[in-house]
Amino acid sequence: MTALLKIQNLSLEYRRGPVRAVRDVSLEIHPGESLGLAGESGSGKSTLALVLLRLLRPDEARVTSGRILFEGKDILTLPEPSLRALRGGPIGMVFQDPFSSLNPVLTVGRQIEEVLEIHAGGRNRPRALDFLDQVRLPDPPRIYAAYPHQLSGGQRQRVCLAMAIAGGPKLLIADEPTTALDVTVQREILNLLDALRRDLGMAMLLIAHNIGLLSERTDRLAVMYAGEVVELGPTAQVLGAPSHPYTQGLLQSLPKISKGSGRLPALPGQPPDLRRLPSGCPFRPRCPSAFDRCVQEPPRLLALEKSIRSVACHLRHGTS
Amino acid sequence: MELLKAEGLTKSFPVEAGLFRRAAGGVRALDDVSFSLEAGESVGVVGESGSGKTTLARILAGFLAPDGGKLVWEGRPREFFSRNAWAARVQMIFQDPSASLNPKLSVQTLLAEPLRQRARWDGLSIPRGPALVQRIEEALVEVGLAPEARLAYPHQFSGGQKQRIAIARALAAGPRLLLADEPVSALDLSIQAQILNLLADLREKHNLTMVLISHDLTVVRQLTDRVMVLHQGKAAECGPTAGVLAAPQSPVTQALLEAVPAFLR
Amino acid sequence: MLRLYLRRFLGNPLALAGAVVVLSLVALALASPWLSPTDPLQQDLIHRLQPPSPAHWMGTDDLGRDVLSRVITGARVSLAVGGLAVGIAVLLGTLVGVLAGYHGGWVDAVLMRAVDVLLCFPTIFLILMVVAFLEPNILNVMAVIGLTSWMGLARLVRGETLSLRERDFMLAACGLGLSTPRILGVHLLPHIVSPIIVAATLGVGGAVMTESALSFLGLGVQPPWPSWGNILTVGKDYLHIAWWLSLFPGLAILVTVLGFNLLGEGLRDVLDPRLGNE
Repeated sequence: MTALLKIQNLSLEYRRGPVRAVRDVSLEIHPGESLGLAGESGSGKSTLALVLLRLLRPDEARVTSGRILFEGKDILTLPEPSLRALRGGPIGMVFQDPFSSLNPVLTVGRQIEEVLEIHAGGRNRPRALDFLDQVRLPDPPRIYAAYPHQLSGGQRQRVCLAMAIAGGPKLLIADEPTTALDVTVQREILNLLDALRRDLGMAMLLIAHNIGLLSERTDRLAVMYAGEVVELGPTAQVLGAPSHPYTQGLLQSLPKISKGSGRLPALPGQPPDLRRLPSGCPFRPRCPSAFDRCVQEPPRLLALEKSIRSVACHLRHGTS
Repeated sequence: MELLKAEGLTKSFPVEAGLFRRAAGGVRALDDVSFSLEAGESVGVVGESGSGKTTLARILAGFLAPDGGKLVWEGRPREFFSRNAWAARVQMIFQDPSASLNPKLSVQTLLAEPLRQRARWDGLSIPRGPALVQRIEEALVEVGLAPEARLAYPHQFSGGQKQRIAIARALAAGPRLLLADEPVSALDLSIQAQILNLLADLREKHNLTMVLISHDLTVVRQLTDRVMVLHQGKAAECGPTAGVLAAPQSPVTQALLEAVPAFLR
Repeated sequence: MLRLYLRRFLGNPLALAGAVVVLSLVALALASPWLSPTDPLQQDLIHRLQPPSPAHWMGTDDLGRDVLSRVITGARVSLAVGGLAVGIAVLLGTLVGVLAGYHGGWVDAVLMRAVDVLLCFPTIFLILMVVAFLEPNILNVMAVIGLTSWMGLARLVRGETLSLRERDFMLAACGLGLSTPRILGVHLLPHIVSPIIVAATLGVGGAVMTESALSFLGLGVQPPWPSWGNILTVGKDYLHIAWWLSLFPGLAILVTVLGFNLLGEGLRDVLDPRLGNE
């Protein structure tokens, strides 16, 4: 199956510094698939989300290499009108804070209709109401007439989702869609995302810093660290039997209800400062299994033998 | 020995409306909340936004006065204690260390203040010069930071390191009760365990009583002996942490538990 | 901390240009007795109204006094008045702003209504009224300008204080049982220093303008002591035959105000906390 979205060797740097925020990242998303992207601060996951639709200002950041192919066409070289047609249409995006994603001085209905105007041929109240219904908002006419500040956080995020699906997306990018919400609401929104994905047949890129959230919602999982993908594979396998020392250390350190209150095996050190990366593997300072090759040579993301999983670690790929 | 007892705490925040901003009803942040703390215990307060847990934390810390109900410390009512006397007993760690550490002040200044205050409260001579520096360095080492950190400013540290500084600051005041308001929520996952371990270690070392406010049940399970679940200002369930989480009675607790990914249960 | 600001400052052309002008002016003002080629008060009625020449770079005025010396000496007056007037405004404005912002409630209401009322008065009329009743001299001018320009700063400081008051680190300071003066002085002040510095720097430009205007009208520095304003008073009468009497003091005012404005704008960029840390 050909990939819907293919990121090839993408590298990006922020001009202030300069800081290499994304380093040689290659990922694929297939139609209808859900790919989770996990990472902490400095991992580059949010930067990656933004660059997929070229939402970073050219004076702030620039792509230094690589391509982003959507249905075969490179997003990075698309002319403006085609790019605009893509944004909010075939590629939809939902952000972390629904309050700042919505225009406070326009009603919800007006904002959804704007999407329809641009991507679906014209303003259409019944269709807008239908989308509000699809995101499981009760009393769509009331929500339609409301302003963002009159809604709760969960409701606002549903409105953002409605706006995203109104464009008929083939791919939905959700960057920390639930982080700003209450835990019980988080679950509802994630369930909604699952349902929408199935009903509309969309692919999804779900980005979160809380790796646990991705566990039940994604088909495959990519773990990012210091701007690189360090592990990639089917979610259940990555979480059940992590291969990269970072993933392993991270998962072991998480408190779990079943663990009781014994001391947690914590990962030492802190997430890397992208301005001062160590030589070789960026995880090396914190890695319990680092050896001399790890200092000399940054590991590349390579497939594990006889597996659809990949990991960027010298330990796993032997000496070659 | 009972350290702190709360009986029937209530707190409302008025909602202003109309041209003259008169109080038009109010939001009941806390509604008849009662509990007691034994010395050395660690109690969790769990709930979502609007549950009242933050309001409760602020009242316990002394930043807010309740509208109704009583707060009793070792047998004496809250009113008995001055601002300073309460601060000597109860200190708080805030959620976001980037906001709770004054970015314009050096770590040295930030830690000197509580140390000097404590000396004042205890009636001891106030440490100065090299003696003060030594105490600050000891405080930093105790939370896992290098002594030289005292010369730096908060923005030069990572989130986890900042939270360590915040913990050092709170402990430097020598409190008996430590309030931790979502102490790891704003931190990267890979360092949450470090801070949780640190809190557990310090609690044991200083025999602290702790109130942990969190929405994250896994954190609560890790650090607390007992837990109280709040919902819309009222206590929904209360009991030993392991028991409550294993067999939740209240639908509120059940909903919170279901929100935890199966992977983390 | 300071090193960061210094680095930013050195990289900011606006700030550097302004700083050069301001520092030159300050040096000029301080060294004026030695830099003036002649005594600014010395009359020479034979050489009245001479155009600029090697002997008198800026020509002479209606009483034969060297204009260059008077302009240089005038710098002293302008900067002294500018600096001290702004100093008064900063002190008063900060005090009122912090009190109103931190305390809130009726204190805030009363103080801000007072500010509102004072802001309703056209400043120039207020100054003219006050000065008309008082003796026109340099101290009164300073005081009056200072006492009529603190209101904007008070509002600015109040706004900053209000937003800072709720921050966790302020709460933490409160939680340590620190006294209010200490919280305000040690914890709050470093945050409002930057906007105050910017407003003060920009304010000096305005104060210099106002002083020049007052002296021009005869209500400020009295002749024979030179002020750029009172040189202009004579200049306006001889505009058609002695252009240098108007041009040079006018240029001096222009350059001074421009210098302080550039410096102020530059400092605003340099001290902007949103630029993050490099």
